[in-house]
Amino acid sequence: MTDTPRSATLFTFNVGFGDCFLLRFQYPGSMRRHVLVDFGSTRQPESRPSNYLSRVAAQIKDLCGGKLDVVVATHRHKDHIYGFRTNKKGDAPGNIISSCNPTLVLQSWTEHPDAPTDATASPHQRAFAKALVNMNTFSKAIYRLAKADEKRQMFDSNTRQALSFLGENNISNKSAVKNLMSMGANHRYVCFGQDAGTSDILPGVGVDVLGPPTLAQNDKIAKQRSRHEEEYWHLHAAAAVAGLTAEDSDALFPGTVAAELPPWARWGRTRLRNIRSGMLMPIVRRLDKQMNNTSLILLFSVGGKSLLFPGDAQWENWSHALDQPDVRDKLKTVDLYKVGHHGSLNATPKTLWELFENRGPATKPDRLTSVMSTKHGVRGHSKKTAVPRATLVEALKSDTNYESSEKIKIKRASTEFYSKVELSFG
Amino acid sequence: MEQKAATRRLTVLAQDPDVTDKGAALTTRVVVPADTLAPGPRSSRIEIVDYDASADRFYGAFDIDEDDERFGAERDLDRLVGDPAFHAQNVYGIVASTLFEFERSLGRHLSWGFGHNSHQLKVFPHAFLEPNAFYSKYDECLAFGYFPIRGPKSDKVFTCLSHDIVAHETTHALIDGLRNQLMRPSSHDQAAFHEGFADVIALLKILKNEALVQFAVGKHLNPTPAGTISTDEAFKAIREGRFLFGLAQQMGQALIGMGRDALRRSIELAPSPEHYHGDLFLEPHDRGEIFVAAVMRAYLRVWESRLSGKIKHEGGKAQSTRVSAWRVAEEGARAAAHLLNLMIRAIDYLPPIHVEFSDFLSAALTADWQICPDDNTYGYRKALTQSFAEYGINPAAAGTQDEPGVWGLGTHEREISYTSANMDSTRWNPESMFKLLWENYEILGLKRDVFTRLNSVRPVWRVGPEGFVLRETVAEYYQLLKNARKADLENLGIKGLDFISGDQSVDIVGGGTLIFDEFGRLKFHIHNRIDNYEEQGKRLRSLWQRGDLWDREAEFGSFAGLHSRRAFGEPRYRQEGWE
Repeated sequence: MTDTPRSATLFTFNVGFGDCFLLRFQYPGSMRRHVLVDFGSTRQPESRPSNYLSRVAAQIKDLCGGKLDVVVATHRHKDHIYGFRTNKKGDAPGNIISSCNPTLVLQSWTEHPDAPTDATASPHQRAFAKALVNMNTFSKAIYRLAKADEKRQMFDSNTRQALSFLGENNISNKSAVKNLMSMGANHRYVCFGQDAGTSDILPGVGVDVLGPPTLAQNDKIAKQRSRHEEEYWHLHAAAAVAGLTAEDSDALFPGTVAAELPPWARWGRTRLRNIRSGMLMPIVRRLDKQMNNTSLILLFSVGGKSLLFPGDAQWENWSHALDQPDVRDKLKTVDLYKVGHHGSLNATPKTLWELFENRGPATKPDRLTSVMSTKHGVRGHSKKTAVPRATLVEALKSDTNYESSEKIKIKRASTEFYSKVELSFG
Repeated sequence: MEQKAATRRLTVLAQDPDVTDKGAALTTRVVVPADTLAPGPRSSRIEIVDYDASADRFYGAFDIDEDDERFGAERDLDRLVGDPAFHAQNVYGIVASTLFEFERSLGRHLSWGFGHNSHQLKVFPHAFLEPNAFYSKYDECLAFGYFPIRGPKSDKVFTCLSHDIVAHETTHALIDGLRNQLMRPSSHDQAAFHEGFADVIALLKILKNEALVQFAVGKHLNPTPAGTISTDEAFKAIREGRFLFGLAQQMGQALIGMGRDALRRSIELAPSPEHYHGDLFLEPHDRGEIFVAAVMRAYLRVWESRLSGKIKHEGGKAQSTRVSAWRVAEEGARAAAHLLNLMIRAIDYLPPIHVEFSDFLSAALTADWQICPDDNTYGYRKALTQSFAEYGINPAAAGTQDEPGVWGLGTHEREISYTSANMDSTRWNPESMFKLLWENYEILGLKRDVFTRLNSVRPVWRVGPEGFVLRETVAEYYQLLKNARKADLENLGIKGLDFISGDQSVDIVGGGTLIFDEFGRLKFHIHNRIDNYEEQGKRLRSLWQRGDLWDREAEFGSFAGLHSRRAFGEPRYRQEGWE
């Protein structure tokens, strides 16, 4: 049958800390289809050619023959969409991707541009979409606060670095978001169980959308979140923005003069600074996690094999899918697993890992392949918080054919920026 | 020598800047001990430190005008909200009056929960530019944030100006001093209790303010120029919680995003056992709302009963068709004051660890019974029992025929030996009390092969509303099996520990509260034993499911995180992490 791929190739690009995968389906004859899953980075490889991401984009264009069939942006974190940004000159990586004229751009329901005002959406969905806007404002302010703190020195260096990283990664990446909205002929914004709309574009390839659920689909989360989420991020965004100028004005009590801290109160100053750091970090992490949980989880099925791309989904996103018996059955036979969230603590739920029946020793036929895109030393400053998790990497090495983007050595003179995994069907 | 008054009055906001009387500030004068005050203000128990970590700015060490003349007559809201000296007085007054309320109810001076190295709770009224306020045990402080908002009255919200938020946080600090094991991860109820109880104390504290209740009544029922309202309407409004709802609609509108709308939510939570016994109210903040709703419903019952007692009835119907608005408010405020006192005293009758709402109900019934043997006048105990039952919560103790639900003493526990103890020193000396405990381990059901600590010995004198004096000694102990491995737990008979691996360890804890009468004889032993292994197993599984079993933040009880989650309404999940 001509409409069924005979093989697939996964190109994994080393973009530093970020995801960039090109999936090629090879059909009988010369027919090919190409799916780009994410293109972003927060820390590019140290030694790299100039305009590196544009070069990566050019290579993607070359590999797909100038035509992308589907572009998937799992969620809006910088390490997943930064490569879609454009510039006026037209040589930014996003311009090059855009010129590949994708037939379909696939994103999460949370990215629908009309979501905040869509009358047909549930109140939960509208509130969440509005909350997303405030989350972006908050991130931007936190990033600037962390940068300003390099002079002020109110936070310790680890906190400053973590705030800076998380703030930057959660910034809305307006140019990339806008480009994703405008490129291509069709756009779909989907949630768990919805049709990905790829059947005509990718003949013979099934695409299941396993996440994210909508808030209405996940009753437990809906009940909790509907309460104050929108207001919560609104308050934090406003506070963070005001925090940027807090030290420069006497706006709190106009006309009063700041007093010198008396000796008995100095103890309190140190403590309170630490309290503030300790308080901000969980808020920023919460935001980061919420964004991660807007990730699309896609399962491609073709020729009896399946490939799982979960973006950065974490437990709250995964739990809905893992509660469904038919989904659990499908996940048992996964052949290729794109490791979630760069190998972090919570993004490969143990329940999911236990389901994978193709895990096993090197001698196991049709052994599971795992592909991780990560960069050591970017996230986490201790063994306890390091990304990727050493225990997960150990398990992946022991039970799967493990591929890591870090194995692709990038130098200033490099001309090829990817590695390949081949899968044949039937 | 000149006699110094024991207390003084300080002007504070009755609730917050959103609750005004035709635009004028609604203030009240709270009673606080007449301590010597240093600039800050600072007393022997409380230090106000007006440092702002977001602006890196110190706003000043303020003096308090001991005659309360500076702010006593001030009704200009803008002036009060714009003056950091008033903020300092407001937060000091509310913290000090909450502490005073506890000490008066419990009949003794209380320690803060952060150990014996420090006597003064530090209070930061403008701690940071954040919508959060919390108690930090580690930092020995209450931190109150402020944040910008677009509104008609002010462009900023100061949490230190919210009476219920300040009282709420102070209550956390006080409970931690009284029952420090309640911050350990345990049952769903225990996690919820700290929040629910702090909400209840804060709400009853503002509702005992007659002027505020009168304001709520007047706002809702429009008294005639003579100050009367319809009797039927008054009863109906009390029963339906409409006065409270009216108040809730005004209170801290800007604070809803912080999740601080306990009064509104308690009224909206219709009675049903489903909330407590189902799985939708397992999160601490949600579950705490059930507790608040049950108490507030009891409050409305007592309010109605008190007002009814003041009106002549015939054939079950009030004879008078009109009633003074001040009378309605007075009874509401008195009901709140009595209930507040009762709630605080109940703490002494709680087990020290693994508290469930049913334990609290028995503790409250016992506390009231001990000091008000006759419940027939206003029926506080009946109201509490009925209201909690409506939410599916029944007393932990069977009680007696005349007093259902109160704690008792097991037959064998009556046999404890006092021969080794010096009756007088057991009232105050921990070593004497521990000796008494040691000699009676078996009778009291304690385990000898685990760590045991006597947390406190407290002599108390209490005076009831009818002048009845009660003298008791309260001692609490806990027992701890630390770093127990899976094999240790299985040897003890705890089953179903598939979620614990061989190299992981957990702590299991039990404990009890001993209450002795004025002759030094044991009256009550309220306990959750460490060797109730069936319960311990269930508890460990439940903690694991919530992701709290090995979570350091949960272990040490971070109210910063808890309150932030409360605002966000964030559920906690076991995360299946790659540790």
